[in-house]
Amino acid sequence: MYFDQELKKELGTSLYIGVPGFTDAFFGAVPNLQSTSQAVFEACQKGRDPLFKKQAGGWQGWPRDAKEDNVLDWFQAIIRRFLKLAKSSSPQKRILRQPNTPLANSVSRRKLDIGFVRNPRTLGRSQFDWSQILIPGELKSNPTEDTHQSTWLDLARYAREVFKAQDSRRFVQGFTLCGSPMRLWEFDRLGGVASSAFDINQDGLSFVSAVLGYLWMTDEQLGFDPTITSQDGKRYITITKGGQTERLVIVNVIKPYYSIIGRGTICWKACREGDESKTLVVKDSWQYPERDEEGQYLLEASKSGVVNVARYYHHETVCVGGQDDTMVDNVRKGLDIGGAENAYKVIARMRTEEERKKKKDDDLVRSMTQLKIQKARTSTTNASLSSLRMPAIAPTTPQNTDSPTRDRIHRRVILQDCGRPLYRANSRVALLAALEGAITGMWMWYSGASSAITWR
Amino acid sequence: MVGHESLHKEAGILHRDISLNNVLVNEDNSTWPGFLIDLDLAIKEKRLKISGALDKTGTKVFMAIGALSGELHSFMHDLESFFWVLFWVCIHYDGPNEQPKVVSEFENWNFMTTGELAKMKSGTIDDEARFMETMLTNVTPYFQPLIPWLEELRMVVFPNDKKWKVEDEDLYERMREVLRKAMTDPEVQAG
Repeated sequence: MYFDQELKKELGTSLYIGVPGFTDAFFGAVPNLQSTSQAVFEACQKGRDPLFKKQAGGWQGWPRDAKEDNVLDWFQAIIRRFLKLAKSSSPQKRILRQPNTPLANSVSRRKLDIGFVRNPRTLGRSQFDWSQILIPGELKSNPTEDTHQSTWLDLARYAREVFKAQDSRRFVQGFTLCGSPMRLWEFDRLGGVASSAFDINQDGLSFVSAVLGYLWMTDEQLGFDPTITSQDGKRYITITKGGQTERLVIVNVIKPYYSIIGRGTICWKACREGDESKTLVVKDSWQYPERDEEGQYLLEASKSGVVNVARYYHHETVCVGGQDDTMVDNVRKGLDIGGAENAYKVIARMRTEEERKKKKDDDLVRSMTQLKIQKARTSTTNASLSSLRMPAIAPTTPQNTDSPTRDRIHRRVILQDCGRPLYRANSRVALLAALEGAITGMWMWYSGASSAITWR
Repeated sequence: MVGHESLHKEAGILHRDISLNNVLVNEDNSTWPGFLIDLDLAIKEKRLKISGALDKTGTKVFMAIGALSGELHSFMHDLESFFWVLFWVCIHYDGPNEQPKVVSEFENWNFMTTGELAKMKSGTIDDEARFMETMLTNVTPYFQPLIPWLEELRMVVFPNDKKWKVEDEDLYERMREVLRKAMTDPEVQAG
């Protein structure tokens, strides 16, 4: 429960919904997605018994009650239909459905409603755990839950579990489906952003596009760090040291990270490929770009002979897609949250609106609702992917008063010393010696190293 | 050690995040016995002074009283943090292979505001008798032999039972001296 409180606090000012350009940023790089989705959606509307018929309420077989089990059945079936229509032979992913079963290795017995996982090549139904979840999803039966913080927090919790279980995640995508309104999400070290909500039974094309997009995204598009790879059961980190590419073999993760927002520091024990005698520690973290580089400090400290500070091996800014890996420009593709609304402000406003509504005359409310329904029916005739790009909720305040989210940059520092935490020292004397060593290191750092570091 | 004063006054780099997880024991005995990691909170002193920002970075329970109260960062804070690291270890760990204990009295330290924690910490160190009482009640059996040395360290880090007022570059040497003496104590060495 404590962690839930923490999560709420942590995400309080960092969730944005209705972010313009969301689908371009996260689905734009999937080849031919738009044209194929268009073709699939057209095919869905053809035939004597069309899969999608707006006048008939949208998708065929859609469970009106939106009960979890029924939605899962429907979802699974429709994915198969989409893939057939798209002539996609062997999808790399499939839908995982095991509601009410906590995933293995979750700390808090989290239940995941729905999610995309890699299509396992091996037969047999092995238990899934968080390390296999590619895209988590949250199902709710009531459309009003689309704007409930409990829905967002549920999805954010899943995202956090994914981050925790998957050490090479730069970001995690996810979705919520509350009745028929769907919203697409992305979580990273700055927080979470989401598209506008769209009704899948009105805007069928956006739904096709979201599903096919999720199925066809590459690992990199899903948020995995491409500099960390697997081969023959071993995992590697590729670095560029002195102009040369070098591969490090990961021995194990030393320090996983437990929250979404922040530096997201992860440490691995590793060694050089072909030289297993020497242990290295690789540390990845997301730093404020204006912050001086730790790696540079360490380099200069090691040059000037400082002792008792972890020894320098290498440092770099991680490069993904040929660019420095930053949150704002590289992960979020320059998405502008200025055009979106802080999710919690939406809640606050909706509450006041609800209260205001309650005061109104019943008849008036009824007629207004009718009007709204008619309006909705007429306004969605031209539904397409573009509706995803429009913010669902226009800001009431002229400008977002929140401070703009600061950028973070993906830094990698590699050290030559590998240690245990102080309290794991084998004896009391060893512990005191380590403490003394660290004090010496700090002092050398403070006094000696500073002389080697020039002001720039 | 000659010339420190002028050096760090010109371009000081402070660690600022001395905490339980950043002080490591070396697994490879050929190099130094212990070392620091996580220098990403390291900061150049000068910049901080220019910005004038009150600085509250660092893992709370290990932060110096002055740092919790919002003082501009000083190397004195880092040195004091080492005291709190040892203090924390002795209360929570009963040997190298034991899981940390949950001690409710100190668990609360994580959830206080920095101001509250500053007061709490001052109250912990500002009276010898009370400090010893706290240690005797809370230090695990494994670390009992360190209690006199914790007290010795307390007297060095908090002269006259108070938090320091003026930066003192000799503190570093005095702390090391206490630790070195402790290492030769037969009680500490036993087991």
